[in-house]
Amino acid sequence: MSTPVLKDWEEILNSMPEEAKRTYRRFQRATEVLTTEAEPQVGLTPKEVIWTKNKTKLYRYMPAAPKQHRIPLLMVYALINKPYILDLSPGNSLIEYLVNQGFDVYLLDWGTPSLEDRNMKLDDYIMDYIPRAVRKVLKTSGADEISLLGYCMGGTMTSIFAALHPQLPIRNIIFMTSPFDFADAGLFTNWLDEKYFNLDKMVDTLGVIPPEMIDFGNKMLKPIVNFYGPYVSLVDRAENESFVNGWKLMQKWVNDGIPFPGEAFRQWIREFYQHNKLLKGELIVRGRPVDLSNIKANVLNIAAERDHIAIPHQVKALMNVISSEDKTYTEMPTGHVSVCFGRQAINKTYPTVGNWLAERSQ
Amino acid sequence: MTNKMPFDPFAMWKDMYDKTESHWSKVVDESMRKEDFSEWMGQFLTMYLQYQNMIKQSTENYLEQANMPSRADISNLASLIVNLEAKVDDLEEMIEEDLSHQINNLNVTREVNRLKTDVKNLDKKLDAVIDLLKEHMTREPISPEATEAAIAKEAATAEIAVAKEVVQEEK
Repeated sequence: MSTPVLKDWEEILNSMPEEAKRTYRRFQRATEVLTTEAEPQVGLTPKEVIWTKNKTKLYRYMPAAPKQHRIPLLMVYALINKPYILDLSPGNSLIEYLVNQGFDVYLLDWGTPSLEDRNMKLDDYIMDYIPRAVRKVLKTSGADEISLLGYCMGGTMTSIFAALHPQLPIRNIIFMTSPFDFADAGLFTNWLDEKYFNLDKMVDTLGVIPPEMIDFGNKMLKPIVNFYGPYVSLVDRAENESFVNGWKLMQKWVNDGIPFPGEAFRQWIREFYQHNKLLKGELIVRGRPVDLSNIKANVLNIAAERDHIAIPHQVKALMNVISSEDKTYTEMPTGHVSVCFGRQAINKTYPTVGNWLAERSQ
Repeated sequence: MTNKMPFDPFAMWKDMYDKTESHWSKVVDESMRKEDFSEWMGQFLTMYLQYQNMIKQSTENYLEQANMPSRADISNLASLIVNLEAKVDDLEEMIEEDLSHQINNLNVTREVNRLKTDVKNLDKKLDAVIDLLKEHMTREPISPEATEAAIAKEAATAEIAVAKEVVQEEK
């Protein structure tokens, strides 16, 4: 039953011009989305855990369609994010698309590191976790070769892993918006300059780097668009439910980072952003030099045109250093995150990945 | 009443954003590219870290005096468990590898045993044939049909004996 005040307000609202009523409804809907609505559910493609180590889990996705391709696919994503970017929501998921195409898909979920993981280095992830996950995938699938897909920093780590393990049967590698050349990393190069950025103090004080700091740094690359723009768009298009669903998914993803283990962060910033050791061939991982020319697998290297985190020239640089005979570089008309979900991802990224992989997975 | 609003604050806000966003983004981007901004950011970060360090140290001192574990103590304990888990994981992998080797070895052993049995069978059959031939040489000549029947009977007896041995071995 309406209270007299609400009844009066409804009467006032009804007497308002149509345009004003629409504006009011938009604001009302935007307020609901921001304040009372539950977060969208993500990562819904059915899966099982086939291996765990510390916080890491290895998932195998349940095939909805019969397996059509012999070679399994292992996905590796960035240490600073949650894995569901690759499996956001039904109809908007790269993993779901590939599973439906008959691929045997696996994902290495890094989990959420805590203070006890502050001493974890990239070496540990690259030499202990990924190789073991690869062996588990090969054993579970019964295949004698494997395909890898690395997203963002996960791709950079995958390239190092592949370069250090030339004996493993890696047939195909897909890199999605993964930076390799850090000589010009846009604004990050300025901000992370050794003269001003006190990296050691940061790692020693915080232990693990909070996700809010990393998110803040990423958003500062385009502050107006990232801090202010989403809310203008939401209020403007709040009556479009499909837009609102996509908006909620995107915001959940952007604001749902995980801490970065301190030692891995120290390495990532110093050896990659400050000294660009990977491309120069100076990177040492657990005492072994990383030579990207050891990569001989088939490579699909995907960049995003509007990416400010992994700028296309940072991604493209890999093509000149690997030894693969079958290598393809392509740019998607998207941003860093929208390469994985949204209309352009569904129409461009998914088929590009699926078709390229299908041709090389028999 | 007209359907148009005489004054729509949201439309004005949106219009202003659309018109000024690219301009302000450019201005902000240019100022953030300056060295001064990096320097300011570095100073701000250092101050924040000093503050964090102070809070952390005072909290740890207090907890130590109160005889209570700090976050670092608990994380050190967790770290021990993680290390233990890593060792178990290593052991698990070693056992898995060992088992797969053993299974391979078992398969090889089975093949060798099968081969041995086959050779033994052949050997026994040959012995039977030689015995029959010797017998045949010492005896009076008999019809070829009777000789064939005798050989077949001996061979069948030898095969049954061998099959029994194989069953015994597999058991």
